[in-house]
Amino acid sequence: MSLDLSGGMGDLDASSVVVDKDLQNFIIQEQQIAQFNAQVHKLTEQCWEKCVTDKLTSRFDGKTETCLTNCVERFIDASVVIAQRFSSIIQKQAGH
Amino acid sequence: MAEQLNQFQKTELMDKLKQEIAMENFKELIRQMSEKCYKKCVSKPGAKLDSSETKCLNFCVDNYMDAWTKISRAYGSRIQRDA
Repeated sequence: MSLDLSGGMGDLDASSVVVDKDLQNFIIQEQQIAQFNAQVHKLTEQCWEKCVTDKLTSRFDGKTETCLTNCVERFIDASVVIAQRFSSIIQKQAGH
Repeated sequence: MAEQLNQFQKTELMDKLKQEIAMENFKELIRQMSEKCYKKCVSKPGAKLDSSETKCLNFCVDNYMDAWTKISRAYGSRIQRDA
């Protein structure tokens, strides 16, 4: 069996497309995992810069570990504040 | 009209996708570690890597993977709390 990648949805009758539920669920699930991992990658890059400032040893000290956890929590808090502020600005502008 | 995949083909496709996703994840982690650990450990590139730089790079990989795991846990539990 081959995949038609020519982009021709035109000759495909939408009602004849059979959605495989197993595959659909699998892809939705994998997409969520990939999204989660992408966010963890971004957070690790940022929090590494902020928290790992001392000379490296074989293990993190407690201070660095706390900083890493706080860094994740405060990043999400900050995102919420930013989104709220932004949406209130947009709403004010829409009111004019 | 495309034929349906049988159960065997489906499982095979899923495994292959999972493998490729995991591979991309590893590649991204290696890309990040190369960048961060080079920055942290090799401040003045000399004629060759000296022993302290090599030691630092090894620590850095251990620490970076540790940080990734900790952040993954912290982020995961935060998402579950917020949900």
